[in-house]
Amino acid sequence: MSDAEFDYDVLVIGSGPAGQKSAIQAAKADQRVAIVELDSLFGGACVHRGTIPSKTLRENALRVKNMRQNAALADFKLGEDTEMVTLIDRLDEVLKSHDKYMRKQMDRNKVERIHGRASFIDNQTIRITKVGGDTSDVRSKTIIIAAGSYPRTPDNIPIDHEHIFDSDSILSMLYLPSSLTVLGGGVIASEYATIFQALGVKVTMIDRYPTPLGFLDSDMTDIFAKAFTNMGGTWMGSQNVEKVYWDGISEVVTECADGTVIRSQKLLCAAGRLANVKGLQLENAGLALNDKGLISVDENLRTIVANIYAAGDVIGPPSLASASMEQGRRASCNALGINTGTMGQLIPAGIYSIPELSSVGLTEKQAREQYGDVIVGIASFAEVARGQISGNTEGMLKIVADPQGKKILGVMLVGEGATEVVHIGHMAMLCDADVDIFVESTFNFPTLAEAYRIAALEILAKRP
Amino acid sequence: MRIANSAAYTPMSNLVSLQQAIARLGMGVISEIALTAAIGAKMFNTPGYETHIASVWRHALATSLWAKEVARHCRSNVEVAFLAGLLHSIGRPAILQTIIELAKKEQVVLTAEDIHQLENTYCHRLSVAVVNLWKMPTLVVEAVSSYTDYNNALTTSAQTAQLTVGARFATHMLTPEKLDKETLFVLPALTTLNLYQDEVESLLKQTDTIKTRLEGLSS
Repeated sequence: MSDAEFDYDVLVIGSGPAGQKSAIQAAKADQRVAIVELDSLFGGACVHRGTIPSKTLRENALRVKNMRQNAALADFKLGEDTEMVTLIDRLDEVLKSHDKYMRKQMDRNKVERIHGRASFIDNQTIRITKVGGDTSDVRSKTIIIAAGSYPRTPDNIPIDHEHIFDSDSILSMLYLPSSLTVLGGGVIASEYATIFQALGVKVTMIDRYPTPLGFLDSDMTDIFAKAFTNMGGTWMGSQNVEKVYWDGISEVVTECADGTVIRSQKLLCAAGRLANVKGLQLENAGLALNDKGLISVDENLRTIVANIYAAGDVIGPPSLASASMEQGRRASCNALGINTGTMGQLIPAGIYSIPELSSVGLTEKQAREQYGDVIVGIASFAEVARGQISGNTEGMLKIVADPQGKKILGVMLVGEGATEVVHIGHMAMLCDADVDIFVESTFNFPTLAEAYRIAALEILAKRP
Repeated sequence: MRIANSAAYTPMSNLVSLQQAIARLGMGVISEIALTAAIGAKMFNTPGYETHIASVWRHALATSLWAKEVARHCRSNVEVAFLAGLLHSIGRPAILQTIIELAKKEQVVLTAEDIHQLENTYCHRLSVAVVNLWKMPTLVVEAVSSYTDYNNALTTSAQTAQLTVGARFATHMLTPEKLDKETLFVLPALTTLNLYQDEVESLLKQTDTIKTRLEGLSS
């Protein structure tokens, strides 16, 4: 089939982090590229409902927490009728500049933006349905599905976006509630639970697992849980929620299997996210969802249909914006036969809770399973001058090294600044540096980065 | 506020502002209270225009219920939508009463057409004044203020478009002869809200539920 029979070389479905980067990469390779977005706003859920709005709220939550911490400087308390719009006051500004920047980037790279809903006619033909109902068909040699995800709603949680919210609607609340129940113990639940607690909301976090963020080492999550409870939050692990309902007057009632009843003004259900493929009619392209409700891809991000690739949340974990961007770029590279370079499995994870958590590489638990008697070095932020100066003493850094105490297997941090500081360890791992690099390097003083030297020295001291 | 402070609603506390009452009691209770106060107390004295005022209130209430469902569908704030819907035409009965009283005082004879023209000219300005005077939440004030020009809403284009769609859906439900279904489907505000045709169809399927709620609140 000749090029003339195709409208585009690469057509991307979805304009979130994965979609944007795949479109830009393909355009930079001189391909004719279009990006289809069903929303009128560009950027996907990450920009408009998730990452950016919640981080904007987090910044204000941190300010409130810091003002409370420094009572000598400012005796501060949020009013009972504080409107949410006040707490995400800079969001509009942030979104507008982000939108402007993204649109400019697309235009500069000659990526055509199409506003409409995509559905497969066959593996190379996509029908675009406009908001008003008009349709048109376009053909593309390669199609990249980067349609993102939407919140999962368990059958026993009647989400009404008024009293009982999901992670896409929680920030639409009119007022800061006096109390909030958060169902879940994953990343989104932990982020919102701590952000709202820092704002002075009485938060109760309920999950079926014994600890929050169970994929991290327990010493990290212990610090997180302690910080949450120190702020006044309540963690209820190993609880199965049987029923949730609004009492029709003023409270949401959560009934647990063991008879515990929690009442709160609002409730957030953060029970994971599902691939956003409704209406795509994947079956027309010869595709189907796997048993987890996701699109299966191989190591090249290619689906079972040769010309169709997928990236981002639609393919499942890690479901991080950073990973999605790289997946999107690599999907295009793979489709076009461009060398991708080495990315490996080294994707850092950042959890924007209060305090932050971040990790790269293996956890201590994973490292012990794979390498046996690994050597661990820990530095508390209380040992670091910068931690003391900023009152950021509740954090820690952990380096996991191989049994010889040489190779860095993983780096984990909890505490403010974790999502930035982790990249020092990340870069060391990418360069295949030994643990010694942290001892032989000079860090600015005072910085949290000094924690690397302290943790590395502990490993050196434990070497066989 | 008097009703909200009664023992039936707030046995343990004293509420001082409408915002605080909403925050504590939730919109469901507040809307019930507001409607009881507004309709039950026969708030406005507009002799000869009682039927007209009743239909204005009925439309406002239907608007609030529709705007709420549109907002819910859009994952936007349902409380803002409800309040904006309920209050977007609050200036209409107030201006009507003022016109009638002024005409009587000044001994001016106005035709029904004159009165409706004056009502249409000033009702929006008065609605905006009322929501400001009542210190409604920022988003409600902005949505009501931009109601007639949602494209130029500063930060609330979505909320204002939800209000516009709610009002049109209410008109279609209450007086289909004034706004048919075909016209409803091509409303520009639907594009602003990014509502696809199947989503509009799905929303309209709630008509019977909205009618039932409307009857419940009107009775």
